[in-house]
Amino acid sequence: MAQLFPPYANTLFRVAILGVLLGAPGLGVAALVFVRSPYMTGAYNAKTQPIQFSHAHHVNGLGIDCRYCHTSAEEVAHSNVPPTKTCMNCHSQIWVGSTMLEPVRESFNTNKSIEWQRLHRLADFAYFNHSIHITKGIGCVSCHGQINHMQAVYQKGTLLMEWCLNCHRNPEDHLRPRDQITNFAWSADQYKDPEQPDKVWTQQELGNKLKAELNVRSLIECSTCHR
Amino acid sequence: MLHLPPLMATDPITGQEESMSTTHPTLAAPATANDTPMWRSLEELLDTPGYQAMLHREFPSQAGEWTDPVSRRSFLSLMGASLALAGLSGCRAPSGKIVPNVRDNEGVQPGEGIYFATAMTLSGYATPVLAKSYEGRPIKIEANTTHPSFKGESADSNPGVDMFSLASVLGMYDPDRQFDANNKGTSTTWEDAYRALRAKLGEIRKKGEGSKVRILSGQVTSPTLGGMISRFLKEVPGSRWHQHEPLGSDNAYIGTALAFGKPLEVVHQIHGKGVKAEVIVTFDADILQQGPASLALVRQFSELRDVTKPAEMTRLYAIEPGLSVTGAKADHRLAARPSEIPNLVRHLAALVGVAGASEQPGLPAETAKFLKELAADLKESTHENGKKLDKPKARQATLVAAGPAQSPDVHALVAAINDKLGNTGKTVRYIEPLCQGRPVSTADTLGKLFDDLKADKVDMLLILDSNPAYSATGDIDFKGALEAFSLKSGKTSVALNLHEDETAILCQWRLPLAHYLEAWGDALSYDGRATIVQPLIAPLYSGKSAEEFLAGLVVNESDPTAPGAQPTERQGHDLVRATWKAWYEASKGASPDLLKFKDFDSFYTRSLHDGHVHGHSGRESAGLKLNADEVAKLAKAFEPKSSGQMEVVFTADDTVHDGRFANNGWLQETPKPITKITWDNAAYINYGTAKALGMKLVTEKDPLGLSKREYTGPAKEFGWTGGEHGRAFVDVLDITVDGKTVAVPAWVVPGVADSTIVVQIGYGRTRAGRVGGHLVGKGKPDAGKATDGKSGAVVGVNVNPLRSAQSQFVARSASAKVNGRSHLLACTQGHHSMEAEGRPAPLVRVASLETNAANPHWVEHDPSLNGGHAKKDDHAAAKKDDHGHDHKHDGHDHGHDHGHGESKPGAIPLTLLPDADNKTPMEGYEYAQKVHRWGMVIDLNRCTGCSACVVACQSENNSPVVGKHEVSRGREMHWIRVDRYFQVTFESLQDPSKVRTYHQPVPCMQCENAPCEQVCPVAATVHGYDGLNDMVYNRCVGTRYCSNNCPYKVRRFNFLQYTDYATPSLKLLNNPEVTVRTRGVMEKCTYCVQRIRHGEIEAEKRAVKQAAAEKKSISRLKDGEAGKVTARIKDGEVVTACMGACPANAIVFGDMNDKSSRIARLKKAAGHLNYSILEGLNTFPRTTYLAGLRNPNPNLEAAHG
Repeated sequence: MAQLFPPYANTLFRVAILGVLLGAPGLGVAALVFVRSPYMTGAYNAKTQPIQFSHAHHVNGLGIDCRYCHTSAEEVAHSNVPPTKTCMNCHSQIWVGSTMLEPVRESFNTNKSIEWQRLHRLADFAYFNHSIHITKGIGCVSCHGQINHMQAVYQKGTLLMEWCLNCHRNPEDHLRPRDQITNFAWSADQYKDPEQPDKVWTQQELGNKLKAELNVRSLIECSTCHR
Repeated sequence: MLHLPPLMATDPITGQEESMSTTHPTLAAPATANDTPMWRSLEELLDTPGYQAMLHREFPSQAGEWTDPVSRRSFLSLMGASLALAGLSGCRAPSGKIVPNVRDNEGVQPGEGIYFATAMTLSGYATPVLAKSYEGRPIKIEANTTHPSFKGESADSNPGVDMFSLASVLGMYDPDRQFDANNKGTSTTWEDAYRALRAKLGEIRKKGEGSKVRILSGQVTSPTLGGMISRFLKEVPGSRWHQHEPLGSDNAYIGTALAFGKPLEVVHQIHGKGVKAEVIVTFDADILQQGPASLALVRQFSELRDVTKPAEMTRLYAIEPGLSVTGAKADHRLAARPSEIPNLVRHLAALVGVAGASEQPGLPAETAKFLKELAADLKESTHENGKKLDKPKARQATLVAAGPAQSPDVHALVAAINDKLGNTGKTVRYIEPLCQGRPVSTADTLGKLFDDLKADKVDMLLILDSNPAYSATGDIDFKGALEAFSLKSGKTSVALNLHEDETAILCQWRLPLAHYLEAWGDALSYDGRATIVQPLIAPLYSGKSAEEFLAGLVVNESDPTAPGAQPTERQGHDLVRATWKAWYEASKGASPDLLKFKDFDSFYTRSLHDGHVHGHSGRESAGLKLNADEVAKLAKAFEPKSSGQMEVVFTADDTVHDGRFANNGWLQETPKPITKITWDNAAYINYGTAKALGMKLVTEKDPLGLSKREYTGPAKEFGWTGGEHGRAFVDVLDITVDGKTVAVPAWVVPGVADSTIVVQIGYGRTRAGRVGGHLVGKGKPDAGKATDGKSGAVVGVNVNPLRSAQSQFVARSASAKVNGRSHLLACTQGHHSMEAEGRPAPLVRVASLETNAANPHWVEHDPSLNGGHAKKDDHAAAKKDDHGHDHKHDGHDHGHDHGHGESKPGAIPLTLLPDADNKTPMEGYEYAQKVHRWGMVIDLNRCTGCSACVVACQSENNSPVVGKHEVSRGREMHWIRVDRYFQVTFESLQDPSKVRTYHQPVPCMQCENAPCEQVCPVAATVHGYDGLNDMVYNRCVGTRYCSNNCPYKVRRFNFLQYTDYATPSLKLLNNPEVTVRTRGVMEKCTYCVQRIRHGEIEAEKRAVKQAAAEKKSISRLKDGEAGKVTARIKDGEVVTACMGACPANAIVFGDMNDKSSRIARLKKAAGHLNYSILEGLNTFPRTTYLAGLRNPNPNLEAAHG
């Protein structure tokens, strides 16, 4: 009777066992990596918008403050996308003939809304409030990244719960003075304390100081975000 | 037939039985809670084996089983669909679009609710409300806390909202509403309808014969609509206006006309404006639940039932045939057959000294004594706060009220009694009638319209928001007449209704009516004050209001005399504004309230904003003089003795009213306050009547053979009284009045008068919609079995055919017999029973003022606790300090130390609060003392059981409707339930006047030591920093361990996919602040955590702003810390949905750590009356109760108690 298994079958078998042993947890790890991948979270995915609006140009180039357009972010839970009227405040005066702005003018004249592609979307059961984060000194950049350099906006973080909790566990890592909320270039060493003008602050020191002053809590209870 | 087991309590440890009537030594045996058994269903009173078996189960048997083949199939198909979806897109973040406005609306912030003052009208009268709009969609109704007719004098007082207003948002989104204008089923447009109707109207007017156009509407108080109808009647000469209100009554108007010479509106005032009704007597008047003033009266009544002010407590006597909410609240209740009541009123008139009245001979001794003591009590009080006074004190003011079902004679006599007692102008005010065209003349009744339709005296009939084809009394075949009329050539019939209902389907033109949240209007509340009804949303289904419709037929704005102008878009608003402009111009000089406005615009804007028209109120009737001769004549007249036959009382249903709310799932599923029946009406009879009719009270065999087919639980052993807590197969009665027979399922309610049947109208709708009954071609209703054997799935039984114009409210000679069939009723009275083996401490604790005065600690006398009791069980032992810490009792108001006193060695401040910042447990406890510590107190003395809280909670928290069959399995999803207890011994069950009724709302207790948290394998229910028992839906895997371990039975499980994800309009209704739960997830009351978190964020933001201004830092922990600003929610900033809705102010929620908060003050003031239920389990509930205090007449209690 001919050999059923060739000599290399032993090797093959050992490799197979090793493969199964490593592969099973490997699959699990792969799954965990997969759910965190931009494919699943939608991060770094800049979508085609109806108008090629450049935050880089308007924020970095022209120096318009975030809150000129996103008026409600300071006051209520949701940050608004500005109405067409806000665009027309300037663009009824400048670039009035631009073809790029045709959809804006059309929207304004026909009273039909511009339909933007949504980028940041939290799960329905998570309740995020912009106003309290801004009030307590979390800058826009902490979650949204360097919007001022984005020609087309993309989502920077994963928006997974662990991403939220990273900061909720250690809010001092991200706290900044309340007048620097929309400053994308801010860092702790720029901070000047009137009482200690020569001191160079680290984020850790400043964060802890602000945390105490504003009584920032580390809220990780479920009902903080889920209701 | 019925075996009565001795009422025994078994000690769970020793197994020894001890009779409940022998109390342990420290139990003072008050004549209250502890000796007479309190029970929810008859099987509980009888302690049947099935009941015992049920107590061991978490849910009724079947609750977790697949028994409904339809549900199973649809579940599987749903599952299939969702699996498919899961495979495609379940895990990836879904994309979407952001569609901002082109121009932003003023004051609207994305994701932030804003409130508008408006008013819901019911039978013409306004209930002022605030409607919450969320990005343009109305989602919740709240109380208008500033309305002067409804708010109380104290700053804390909340006017509350009624169930109907709360559920009206669902009514607006009702997917079965008529969505287009159509002509005999062919879809058309409003323009076409107007064109055709105007042409027709022109023809009729040209003929000039007159008397050919008829309007039919319900009761109207609206100045704009009333004005528009008058204008129509003027523009179309000879046209007539008929009124049809299914439960409308002119009896009070006619009665006051007899007494005072002209019809008047009776306005009651129990408390406020310097008036206090010390004694209240009702004759068949459900003043606390029915009628336009009920919200205000409940609030006023509850102010006089404040346990912290026992000396000011009012006394309520109720004389009534059925058991109403008012009767349940009464200190003394006399069940009387309807035919007896007029004579009882005459007897009382004689006793208080109304001229011409003489005492009635032949009254039963008990009744005579009742009335004698009642009359004496109306004149002077002999006791105060349970103690006998040395000298009787004259009463300052009292109140006697008669219900709308009582005859005009009774109303006139009651007016005379009030006059004699000096109540006129104090507790009883008379103002000019509020309803236009009332009392209705005989030429304008529905009956006359019916005759004219038959006699061909009508060319055109306009029906405005009325459904006579369903609700007309049985003596006229309005349905037939209308159908015949619509088929005749040359005739025009038009219905402007919300639904294409029984009436609209018989009309040629069926036009969609706008809901009150969609259209401008106005209406008067019970005391004549006007509210402008402002819409929150454009009509969803192209509806128009009645005033807009009439205006579009006859009014041309450019040329008011020429008919046929195109209606303009803002016409409704223009009409309302014009009405109030004219009123303002006419009265601005006369009313001092109007002087503060510089012009009409500021007056109008302010009136819109505040929800009531400033400077407007009912017109007091001056110079009233009682017509003594007329009253004497009425007092002498004698009511014929009852024929001895069965008497049938027709009432409005407590949840669906006269049928107009039949398609509202929230209302259908809300258990009725007294009977706890859902999804059905029933014939309420007392125990004696049931036996006399030969009903099988405990069925040995089950008549439908369900044990083989469908139902296998132990409930079949005890048949119909509540089944196994919901599945009640009851006997059906054939009720016959004047040769007409209707089969109605029977239900025993202790407290209904002998030989009396109480039935509710509002059921048996055949064109209500998918919820309330078949609407042909518009989907299948999911609940209810055919009761008349013909129609498919109608909910309940229509009893209108039994009524007639003469006997709208009472049929005096009826007969009833058991017809041999049985019917399934879904009754929740036995659901979620907290009774445990051995009957621990009473859940509801009530005592008389006398008992309370004698022994203020009576509430603590609780046999299940270890204080002085021989019984030693695990729970008592668990209260021993097992931490080894030296727990000092620091005098703080802990939620858990009530009811077992501070001196008790066992009571230690255990807490599950997290040890914040790595502090030791005791330091953690200190921390817990400084942050918010949310708690709730429910005052059983104030609660009337009206169940508005249930609907408010459902609306706020997106709770689904489950349908009748699911309710019958104990699967209802209400987060707060209102338990109803009867208190009467089995021996006294046959005496309907002896039963006492109590209500106890039960939400989640938010235990500090929560049993549910300890058994959850996935940490889906955990404790938060402020002590809330959080429920995390996404973690829940549906083991139901928590529910099993919850002693209060407040957790609800989504057995099936109850939430309607499919109907587009219902998606708009959901509160976006609360997660919509899906199948397989446990849920429960959260203390409206979304509102707490919102309040917390606002408080923090406020503090940051203040700190920045004052250059200070912020503290959350301490008040008034030097150099710091405190970020705390102020008392009253966070109100739970149930508290906001409660007209009795029985629910108080707040921060127990805030010493100045209402809850802390109340707990302090109530002292020993504050108790926790099942306190022996060591759960330390945050929700506690204030024990009830009854205020019986001590001179009557001995004889009648």
